[in-house]
Order: sequence, then C-alpha cells, then structure tokens
Amino acid sequence: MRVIPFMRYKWWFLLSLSAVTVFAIVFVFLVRLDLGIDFRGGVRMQIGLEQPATVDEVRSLVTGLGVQDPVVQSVVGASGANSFMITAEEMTADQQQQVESELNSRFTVKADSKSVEEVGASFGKETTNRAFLAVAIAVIAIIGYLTFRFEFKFAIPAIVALIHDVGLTLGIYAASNRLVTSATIAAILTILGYSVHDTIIVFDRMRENTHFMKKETYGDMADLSIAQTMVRSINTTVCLLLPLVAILVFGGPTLKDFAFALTIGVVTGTYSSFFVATPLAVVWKEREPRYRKRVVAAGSGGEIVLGSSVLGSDGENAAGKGAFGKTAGTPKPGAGQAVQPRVSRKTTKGKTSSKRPAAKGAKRTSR
Amino acid sequence: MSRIQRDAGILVLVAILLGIAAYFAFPLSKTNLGLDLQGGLAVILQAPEGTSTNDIDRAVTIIQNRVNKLGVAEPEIQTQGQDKISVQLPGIDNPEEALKIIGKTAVLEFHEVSDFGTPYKSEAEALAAANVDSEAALDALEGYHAVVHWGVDSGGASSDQWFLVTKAPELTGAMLKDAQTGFDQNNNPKVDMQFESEGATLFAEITGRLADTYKITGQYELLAIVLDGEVESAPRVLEQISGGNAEITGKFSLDDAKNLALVLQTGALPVELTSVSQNTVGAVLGKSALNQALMAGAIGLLLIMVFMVVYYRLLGLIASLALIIYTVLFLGILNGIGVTMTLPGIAGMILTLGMAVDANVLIFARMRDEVRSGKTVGAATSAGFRKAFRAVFDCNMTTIITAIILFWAASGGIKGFALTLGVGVALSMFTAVLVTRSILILLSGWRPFRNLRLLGLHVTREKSLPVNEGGRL
Repeated sequence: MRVIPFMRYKWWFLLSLSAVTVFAIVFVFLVRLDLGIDFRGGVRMQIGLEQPATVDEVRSLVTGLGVQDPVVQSVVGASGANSFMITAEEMTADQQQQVESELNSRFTVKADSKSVEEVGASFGKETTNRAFLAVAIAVIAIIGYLTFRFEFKFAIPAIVALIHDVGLTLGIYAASNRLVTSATIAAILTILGYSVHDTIIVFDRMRENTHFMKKETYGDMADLSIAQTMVRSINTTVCLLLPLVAILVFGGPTLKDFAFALTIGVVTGTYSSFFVATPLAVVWKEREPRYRKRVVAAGSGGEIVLGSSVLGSDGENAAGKGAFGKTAGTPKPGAGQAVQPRVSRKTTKGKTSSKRPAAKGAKRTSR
Repeated sequence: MSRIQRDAGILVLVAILLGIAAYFAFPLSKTNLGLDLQGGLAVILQAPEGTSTNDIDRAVTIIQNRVNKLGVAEPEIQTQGQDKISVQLPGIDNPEEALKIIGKTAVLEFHEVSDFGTPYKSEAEALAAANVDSEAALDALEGYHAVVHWGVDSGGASSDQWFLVTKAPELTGAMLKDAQTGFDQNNNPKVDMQFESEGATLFAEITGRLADTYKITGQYELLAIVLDGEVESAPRVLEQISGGNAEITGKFSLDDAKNLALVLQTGALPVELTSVSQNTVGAVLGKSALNQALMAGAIGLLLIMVFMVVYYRLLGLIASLALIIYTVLFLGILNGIGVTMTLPGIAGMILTLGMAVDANVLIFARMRDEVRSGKTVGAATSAGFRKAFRAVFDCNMTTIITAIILFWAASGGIKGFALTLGVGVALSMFTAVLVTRSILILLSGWRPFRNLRLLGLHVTREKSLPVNEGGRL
C-alpha cells in the first residue's frame, strides 16, 4: 500500500480549503440564497397544460392578472412536458382561480394536474427559525457524540470539515439558482449526519493506529490511516451516490433539488475528511508534548519512519485505488515496513488487549 | 458448533421476521400514501395566541366531524406544537371546497325571534333601515348590529325574510359543548345539545322566560339558531330547560337532524382558525410523483447491487441479499405500523439503501485487511466484523441523531423523511451486520466461500507475501 504524505502539506490543504469555504460562504451571502415560500411565505402553484406554452407567455399572463413579481419556471417531469411552477409572495384565491381559468382557455389545463401550496409569512418565519435551531442542535449533538466516542480534539475538526461541506453545498446550490425549500434543509441536516461518516472512518483508524505506533509522528500515523481507509471511504460514498444519481435522473422536480444538494454534500464530505478534518486534528494533536517530541525527533517531517519511502517515489499520482492494487515504484527497504509488521502482528493476535502490542515497541528495532 | 447453531438460529429468526414483514409489506398498493403522492389537501391551521390546549383539542374534534362529513378515506388531523392543527386529506376530489368547509369560522348565535323586529324583503332594505349600505359599514356601527336572513319554507312556497337585529344574542356557540343526532321515543330523529356551565345557566334563563311568555299569552315563542347570519332552525320553546342538556325535536328528516347537529357543532368551534400553510395536490401530479420516486428507488437499488457484486463478488452478492432482506423488513415495518408514505419519505428510504451497504463496504474492506495480513477466510470474517463494527456504529449513530433532530424540527412531509432515514439506518445495522455475518459464517464451510478470488478478497493474493518483502499493508 502506498502511503501518501498528505500531512506534510497539511497547512496547504487547510489554507486553500478554508479559502474555498470562505469564498463559498461569502458568495452565498452576496448572491443571496433563493429562499422558497417555505421560509418567506407565499404561494406556489404547479399546473400542467395540454398545449405547449413558454415561460414568458405564462409569466405575462400571470402578471396581467395583477400578481406581483411572479417567478415562473418550466418543470419537466411530473405531469408531462408542459408543466409550470408559478411562485409569488402573494396570490389570492381569486387570482389563483383566474390564472387557472385563463391558462385553461389558452392552453387547456390538464385535469387533476394542479397543485397549490400556500405558506403564511409568520409560519415561514417559524420554519426558518426552526431550521437554524435544528442545524445548531445537530452540530452540538455531533460534537457531543464525537467527544464522547473519540475526543474533543477530533470532534472540532470533524465539525470544521462539516462547515466546509455545508458551505460548499450552499454555495453551489446558490450558484445553480435553485430554490431553497424545507427539503433543502432536510438535505443539509442529512449532510451533517452523513458527511461525518468518512471522517469517523479515518478517525477510527487513527484511534486504533495510535496504539501500535509509538515512535512515529502523529502526521505520519494520520497519513497511514488515510492510506488504509481512503478506498473504502470512496466506496461508501459511491454506494450513496448511486441512489442519489437515480433520484437526480428519474425523480420528480422536488426530489431533484434535494438529491442535488445531497450529492454535493456527500462528495465534499469525502475529501474534506482527508484534507480538512484530518490535517486539523493533526495540527492540534501535534501540539501535545508527547507528539511534539516525536516531530522534533523525526526532524520536523517524520523522515525516519514512514515518509521517506513515500517521498522518494511518485507520491503525486498515487491517490486512490490504483495505488492499492499495484506496487508503483520501488519501496525502499527499511522505511514503510517498519510500521506494518506491527500492525499485522496486532491483527493476527487480535484478541489481546490493545496495550500489549504497543508495549512491544522493541519489535520494530529488531527487524 | 454452538457458533454455527447461533448463526443458524439468527437466520431462522430473520426468515420468520421476513415472512411476517412480507405479509405486512405486500401488496405494496395497501401502503398509506401521503397526499403529495395521491393528491389531496394539507392545511395547517393556527389558533390565536393564548388559546388553551382544551380549546385546541375541541377544535380538532370539530374539524374531525366536519372532515368525516366530507367522506375522506384516511384523514389525518392532529395538533402541531401548541397552537396549530394540521389537517391532511389525501385523495379528495375538490380540495378548494374542502378547505372552505374546514377553515370556515362560523359564528353561531341563539336569538329570541321576538327580538328580530320588522321583516324586510331584501338585505339592502334591512341595511337601509340601519342607515348603512354595506355589511362592512354595519359592522363598523357601535353596538350589536346584524342582518339575519330567514328562508321560511312553508309548504313548498318559500319566502325569504331579512331582519335587522340590534339586540346582542344571549347565547353563542362558544357556550355550546356538543351536539349529536339521536332518536326520540317514537323513533323520530332529534338533535341533542349540551351546554357549558355558563351556557347552561343562560339557556335555562332564556327558556324559562320564553316558556313563561308562552304560558301567559298561549303563543309559542321561538328561539332562532343563527349560523353566520342565517337562521338554521327556530324551535319552539315549551318549557324551561335547565341542566344544560336540551333536545330539539320536530318534523325532521334524519338528514335535517344531522345537518342541524353539524351546524351546532360548527358553531361550537371555540377559536378562530387561520390557515398558515396549505398545499393542494392534483391526483395526476401525485401519481406521477409516486411513479418517478419508485422508479428512482428501483434503479438505485439495482445500481447498488451491481456495484457491490462487481466490486466484492460473492461478498457483494451476500450484501445484496441482505439489502433485499432489509428492503422487505423495512416495508413490513412501515406498512405494519401504518406509516403514511410521503415523497420525502420515499427519498429517505432510497437514501438508506445506500447507507445500508456502507456497513458492508466497511466490513468487507476490513476483511481484506485481515486476509492480507495472512488470516484464513473464517478468521478474517469474524475479525473483520468485529473491527469494523465500531466505525459502522459511530457512523450510523450520527445519522440517527440528525434524523431525530430533523424529525423534531420538521413539519409535514419532511417528518416522513426523517422517520424513514432514522428507522432505516437503525434497521440496516441489523441486516448489514448481523444478517450478513450469519450468512457468511454459515456458508464459510462451502468451497466457493473459501476461494478468495470468488469471495472478492482476491486483492490479498499478491499481498500474502511476507510483509517485509512486499512492504505493503
């Protein structure tokens, strides 16, 4: 297995991805998310027509009936090609009926193909508040859970990675001009719960590897953990992306936006585990005296143990699956293997307590 | 031996559960569909601030009565938060009409007919008598003013009369507790009504006065039941009625009686409800949304299974089997407890398909690690499951936690999403971990299950070199 020394470039990852995140969030504030009626209150009407009509025709018809600033979108799917979504902050019941009858006389409205959604402004405000509250509670709950199962110094990096995921999701969502609905909020919360999966997988391995690796720097240990878990993280992501793609292609208009948000969140959630959460945890952990000592001993880069073999070979293109299947480059003797025997030794005698193999640090020197 | 027995036991249990689940799950057509999937009306009504829970509960009962009159198959009426009522009427033909009936805040009043004064031939005349030209202007006048319409139906020829009433009603619908239809001794339909304590006192007072007048003059006095300015009925008062229970008898048809009871119930709506969110969905629209979602789900399931089988071969096949077991169990649970499926609910279910195999991916990857380090398939299987479980558990817990939070925060269809997501992930831990493991352990004696290449653990082959030669993990 090829171990790529990602952690050598941890600051590079952290800075560039924070820049991306900040940019995405600023972008969201500048462009303004298109909040749907779920949050601001208003009327959303979907209607299917027998005869073809253009968005402009429908919009001018609706405006002509005195509806202020209607947003008209053409929706493909739900009830054939000629479906339209008309959204307005205010559209009285009378106006709704007029719109329907006018559309009917010009384009013939399909039977039973109309749906109207009306949300009061105060109710929308409540939904908004609750959405913020729910996100806040979810963040706190995840911090709490990760602190309980791992430690606080893992929980915060995981959340920072989530901020990156959600920030990017919202940014791309805003850029693609999609309407934010309560389904989008559900997607954001799901991203919070799911994107942390890949982070947990790496952290779980780091938690385990700390027991075997008593000499290596924390960064090298993290690199090994990433190398060990990256393929499976990508695979779990693929497994979730497959149904999401199915929804994106075959689902109706409402589900598509939802799946779109989730897709971004799930993809960003995978790489942010390696390039945001892990580096941040490493930076923080290496400030601890015992790990600091190792960094000093290793000459700031951890050259002694894992790194050298990797640095020496073509670490650049080694990410992903290919690196695992084949032995690219020639591993240098002495490095790289130092860790592995102990890892495998541990796994063979799996039932012993985790303390024991760790105490056998001498094994390493004997090889 | 006992391990095999245990795993066989688990599988027998799963088979039984599967049978039960399949019984509840199929045919799928019996699933309760939310109105976003079969068309209908969803509305959230809000009561004014400071409304007591008691009044909200009464309002719910009243709305239930009204909805029952509409003949909706599976109405769902429940309180939401402290001051909201959510009404879901799937599959109704005319959502607009239904909304009018439900949301109508009727004003029910009891007037003594002797207070009505002069009859007018039209509403305009009655308004003119008060020197105004519209109802709005009438409402603006000081003191009680109301125009009451009475369509007296006397022997086929109906005559309409309007009255300008200036005396405030002594009794209002708010003092009425409930009303029902029943039958008197002669088996004629009648309407029973019950008053609240204050209402009972007032009612006794009024009926006492009217009965006294009748005794003195020999002339029946009428007490008009007025709903929204419309005289619905004006029964004669023969005697004082105390105790708060009254009955209205007369030449009713059963339908008349039912209508009158409904009017009385309507009037008893204790608070004014305003619609804060409503959603009507046409039947065709709902149907196509359902088909699209099911299509997406089926294709998603298929894609996942193909991926798993291609990547993990026999192990992937077992995972796919576990995924199908998961799907049937899940449908069984949903249909068994009668969950109403909404579009977001189906989306949640589709997502959990992907999350369910996540556990398998993690476990199989661990198994590869173990085989790579030189273990036999059997040893790698148990070690793989044991070591992967912690990560699987932690991953699923974060999703379950967010699902619970979402369930709390969301309203309407999104609640359905949170429900399927949370329940699905919890259930998937059972199928993806326990069921897969039992199957693998039981089959581990079978030859194909000792072949690394078939199993999908073949990556390990080149890795099974001594570690210090290959230098790979």
